[in-house]
Amino acid sequence: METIHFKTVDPVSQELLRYASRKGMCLNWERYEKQQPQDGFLRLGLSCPYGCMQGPCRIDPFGRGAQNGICGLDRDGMVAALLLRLALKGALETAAEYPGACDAKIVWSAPLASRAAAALQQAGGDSVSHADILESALLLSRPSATPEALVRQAIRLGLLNIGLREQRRADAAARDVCVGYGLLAGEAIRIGVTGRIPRAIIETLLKETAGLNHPEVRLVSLGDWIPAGEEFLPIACTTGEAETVLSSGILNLILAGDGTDPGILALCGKLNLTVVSHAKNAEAAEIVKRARGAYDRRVENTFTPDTAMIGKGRVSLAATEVEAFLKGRSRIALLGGADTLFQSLGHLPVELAKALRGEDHDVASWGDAALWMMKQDLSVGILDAEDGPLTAVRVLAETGRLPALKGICFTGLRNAREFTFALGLAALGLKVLVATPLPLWGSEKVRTKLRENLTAAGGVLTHFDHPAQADEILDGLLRS
Amino acid sequence: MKVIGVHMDRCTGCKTCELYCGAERGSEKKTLLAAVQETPPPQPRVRVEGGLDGAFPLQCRHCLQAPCIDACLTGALRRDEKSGMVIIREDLCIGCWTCTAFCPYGVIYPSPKRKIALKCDRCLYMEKPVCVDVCPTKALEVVELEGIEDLLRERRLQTLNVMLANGGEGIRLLDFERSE
Repeated sequence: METIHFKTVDPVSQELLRYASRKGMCLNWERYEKQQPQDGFLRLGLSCPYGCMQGPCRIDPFGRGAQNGICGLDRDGMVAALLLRLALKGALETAAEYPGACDAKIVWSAPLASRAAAALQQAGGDSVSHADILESALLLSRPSATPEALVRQAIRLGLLNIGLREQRRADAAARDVCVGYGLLAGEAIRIGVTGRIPRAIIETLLKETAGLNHPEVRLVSLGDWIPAGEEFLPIACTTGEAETVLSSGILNLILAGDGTDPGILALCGKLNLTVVSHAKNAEAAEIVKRARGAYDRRVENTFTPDTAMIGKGRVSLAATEVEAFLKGRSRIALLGGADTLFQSLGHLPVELAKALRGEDHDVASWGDAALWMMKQDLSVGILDAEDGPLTAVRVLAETGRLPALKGICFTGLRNAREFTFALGLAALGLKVLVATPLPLWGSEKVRTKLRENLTAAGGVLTHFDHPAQADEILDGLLRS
Repeated sequence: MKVIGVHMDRCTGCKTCELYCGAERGSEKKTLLAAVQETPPPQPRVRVEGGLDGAFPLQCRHCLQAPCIDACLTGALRRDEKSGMVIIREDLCIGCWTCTAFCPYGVIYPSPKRKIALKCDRCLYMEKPVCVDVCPTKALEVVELEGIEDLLRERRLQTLNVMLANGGEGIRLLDFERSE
């Protein structure tokens, strides 16, 4: 644990990690360390993604061993196919979230229409639709397409990903959100909420627990942005810290939705912490009763966070609010994304936000990165976690102020959808930086083709062959 | 003397040892993603051989009677007195590759670009050989040669137990041979 400061910048989290280590609890960090080094072929993109059942084939990056798969596929084709597969997965995830939105041709809103048209012209064809998803699946059935075609198709899926969100754009009122360990302070029955929970369940639970005292019943999210009435559910920690908080034993019950990591459920089992899956349709009263039962059986907890450790923010969901925040700002950087264990948690968001503000840039953020900035009381704009930087981009385009946008940085990617989103933004002619290494380093040709295609549309997708340092990101945003 | 031992039953042939040996010992930047961009491409000093029946990572065995040392024309290959390893002095190597022809395991590699021969030195100046460090199934292990008898005894006992579990077929065969 002597490297604990490499794990998180939060001193309270560091203390909790030490406690978990003393108790012999295996958290995400231990699992991460045991995974090192991760599969080198996949990290380079040199593990074949076609799934033909003759493989898995892989290519020796040093040129000494196999240079072709059984079917004859070379390294460029393999890396390009992996790029397309990631983009396809991202597009499918988005399509699943917006059912019906991709049945027809994507219609772009005015501010982004010209950019989308230019990008599509480069990527072949004048429109994108759900047919592109099927086309991509066909391209990935057998390796017959050229790397160039696969790269172009990946870019089209990136644009489709943005287009799908644009079809379902809905303005909503701004919501307050608070974050921090202070939310866990004091005497209370604490129900941790994680994963995707239907809104109705949260509303019912809030009604059930409203006005309950001695002790009060609190619902806290473990990193997810869950709408609750006019606000978001209070967020105790970022997604990367969820297991750390759980290991403290301060929670009395977990309400788990879809997308809850198995590590969280396993830890609950180890802690004898009751987990209620939203799929079980448990009544709100029953959930509260079980939480109360667990509270009554509790043992004294040594984790007593300070009530002052609460950061507050207001999430701008509507274009008008984002516009109000961005109005009159001449240098803007959009900086957000999920926690990643490649970096010390919180390090990049906090350091970058401070440095950018020092360079007279205004910062807007989303996701875990925004939570870190709120925890540090940094004055930044907070964007919708789902839409990320898209609303801000649209507003700037609408008002003709896109030149003020100095770049968009994803400090971490949580899933293929976020990667495809980053790809789509770069395809729209924006400068995008990704701090997490992408599996494209196995082929110079694919990287070059991707860069050329994006450059032709005026965009840049900067990624690194190592977890990016703050100064590298700053260089990319400010000086290149 | 310490050598790299291989648990053959654990090797899945994933070639992780090859990748990270190349990155650590053959590249300037020492990371995999950067190493693959270097010219000439880094050369690993370990090679995984095998097929469907099993795989085996092969690197220099540091033979106690090393034919490569006898074959070396310039004295570039020599035994390190302290560690007992067979090491190569790159400044003396002329790239004649006689050693590659004499190595019974084929684990000394010619490097035409650098005009020298390359071989495993068990990452002599590192705490642990990189191949051992990165092996995901712990198939590679640093073993003290003096303690090898314990390891072999353990293996013999394992074999005996397997034979007994299978109805003692092997033992019966020995008995049969004796009675004949």
